[in-house]
Amino acid sequence: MALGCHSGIARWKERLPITFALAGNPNVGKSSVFNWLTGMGVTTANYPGKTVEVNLATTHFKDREIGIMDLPGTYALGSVSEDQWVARQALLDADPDAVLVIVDATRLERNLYLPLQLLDLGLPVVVALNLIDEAWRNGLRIDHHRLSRLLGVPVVPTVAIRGQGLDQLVEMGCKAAQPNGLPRVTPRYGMDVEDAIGALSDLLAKEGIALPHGLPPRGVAVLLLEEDEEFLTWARALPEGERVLAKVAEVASSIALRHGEPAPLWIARERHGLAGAIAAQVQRRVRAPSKAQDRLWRLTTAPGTGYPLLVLTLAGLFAFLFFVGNFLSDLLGGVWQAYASPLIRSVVQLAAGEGILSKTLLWGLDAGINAALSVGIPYVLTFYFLLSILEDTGYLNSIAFLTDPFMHKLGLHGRAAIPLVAGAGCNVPAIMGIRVLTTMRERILASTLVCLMPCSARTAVIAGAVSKYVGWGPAVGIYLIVAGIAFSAGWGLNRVLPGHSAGLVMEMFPFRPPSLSKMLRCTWYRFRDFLFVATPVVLAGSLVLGLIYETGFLWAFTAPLAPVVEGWLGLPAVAGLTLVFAVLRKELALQLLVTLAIAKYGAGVTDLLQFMDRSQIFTYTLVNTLYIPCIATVAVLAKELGWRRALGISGFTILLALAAGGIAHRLIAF
Amino acid sequence: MAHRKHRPLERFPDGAPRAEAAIPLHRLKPGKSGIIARIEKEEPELLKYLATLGLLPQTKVEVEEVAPFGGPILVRVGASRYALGRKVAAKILVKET
Repeated sequence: MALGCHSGIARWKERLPITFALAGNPNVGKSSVFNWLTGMGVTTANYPGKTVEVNLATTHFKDREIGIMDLPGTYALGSVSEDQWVARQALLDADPDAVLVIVDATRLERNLYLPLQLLDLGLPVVVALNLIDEAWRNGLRIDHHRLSRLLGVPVVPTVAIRGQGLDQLVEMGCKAAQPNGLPRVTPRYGMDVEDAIGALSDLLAKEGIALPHGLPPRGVAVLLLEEDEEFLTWARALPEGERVLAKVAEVASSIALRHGEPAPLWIARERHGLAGAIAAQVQRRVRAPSKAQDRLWRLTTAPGTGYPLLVLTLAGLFAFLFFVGNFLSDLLGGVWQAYASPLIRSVVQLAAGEGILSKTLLWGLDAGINAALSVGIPYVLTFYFLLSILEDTGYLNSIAFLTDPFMHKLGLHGRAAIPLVAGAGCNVPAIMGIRVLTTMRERILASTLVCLMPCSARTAVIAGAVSKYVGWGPAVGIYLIVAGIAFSAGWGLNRVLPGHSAGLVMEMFPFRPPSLSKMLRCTWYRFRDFLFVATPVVLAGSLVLGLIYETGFLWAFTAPLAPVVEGWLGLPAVAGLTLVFAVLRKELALQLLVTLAIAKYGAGVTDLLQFMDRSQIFTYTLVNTLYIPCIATVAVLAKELGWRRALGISGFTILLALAAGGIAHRLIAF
Repeated sequence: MAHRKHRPLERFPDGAPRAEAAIPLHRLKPGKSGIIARIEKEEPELLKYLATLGLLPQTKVEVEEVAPFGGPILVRVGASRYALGRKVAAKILVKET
């Protein structure tokens, strides 16, 4: 379920006695904390036009219901990037009773920047010192009592993936949430910065200006000095705006004059300085960090060893998905045919008789569920598990680093490599994997490319039709044509779509031994999305198509399709019908082609060559490979990008398929 | 310990010695480090973003890897590692140490 933001978050907060926000840098274990505390029943909130989501859920602690809002992982709360903007906006809209900041104990210095910024805004903060076990293993000892004294807020050591310390964290959050529960402190920077902040907040307080989101004067003063665009706009609109902005300019220029650096940068420097000074006081290195980490990094990112490893990994991933996926798919299909299918058949026939209704129901309940299962479990589940291994170990970073220059040509960056490769197994999880890309532009580009990747179902048609009847050379030709079309489409779209690809700035996380329980949980959370999004659509689609088929209404499509199918593509009419039907599942095209051919030309038809020549089989397969992946993919596209964009991409692939098919019909003959 | 070659001192046309010029970060060889001298200001948002990551003037950065084909570079700042695209790296000017 998705909520439209502002009011969504406000309404969510209204019915809960107490709410916490979870904040933290990316990849510090924030999601582990969220998942551990909340479990099922997560809703997401979106801000219009933003791709980054906020997750909302509840937890129970000592008979109290606590709302937990999981903010996107960010390094800071400026408005310079979408994730930062969303995190800050959600924080201001929700006005949580406490902010639990998850910090990475192995990188305390950089991680303390965010809690200091939250304290500047006057929010009640509790720090979770996460990955404390990893810090210990790396030879770092952290005095959390001292850290708590220096920051002036509670600090709880945690190991989130095992749930250690989380009860205490929530308890501290409850304490911080009580009015006067814990003293609220503010960090102190250099004297001249404090003077500037003081002068500005005095002015705001003296003029009695109503501050947005109930922020304290100090918080607003810091934001204005940081030249935060939103708050400057707010100040400009004030009746006292001119005086406030004059004061901002005055104190900012005094900082700039004194330090030779604009005020926003100087404040960032002071905050880093304070974070570094605090970190230095509380941590002690008892042993030099191990060199194994560095060697692993060298191995995976140096071009000489990195690229061979990358090719091996991607080939392995693809082969695993392809072979294991196919094996599981056949296995499940076989079991379904042997046990579930006859059972469902007899139940449906018992209830609905033998008529059209019963046959239509069987399309949905038998073929439909079978389709969802034989795509979902073998390919989607397998892919998610493989992805979680790459993600959890940290190898995904190396992949992104190495593939970045190639992806740039398509307007994407390195993180898009995995979904594109996965698309060759199944488009559905690949499109869900596109969530790792942060701008809508990148998501549209990558989704379009994924849709053009021949998935295993389309590969089955290429093998069953072209390899079998035309030859392996033309089959390889189809792949080459599709690859060429995909690359040109990506290259062209990159030029046509407004905007440009942002420069890459990505933190590279250390390699970590993967945790099986975390990977399984991750896999399940993603697979759940597939189950609830794609499965109902496949079922409904199967029922509708079943009805059209069983009522014989199908043949009515022959005439309207004729100009395109017979005239433009040069294919027999039945072939056109199967192309329409294959939207349900691409490999259905071939089975249906034989079924309909028998219905039309009589029982003697056993192979395609009896009613199509080799060139027609080639054209048919090319069109089948290029146009809309399948109904499940469209459903996922719609969930990720919205219906308008999903239909746009689908339409685009239909045009591409028709263009390629028409040209092939005219130019290629076997 | 590998022998470090001395780089010739840069001079003005009249021969007077000149402070070592800053070079874009991606021109540092892997394994070398430098101090950030300045960051090009034409993109204030990028400047602020880099500042939140601790990529500020006077900070020491070490280049660990430069990806081929115009790919990103891998730098270490304090205890953190970042991949920076060439376009971004070209805006960060450093003095080699």
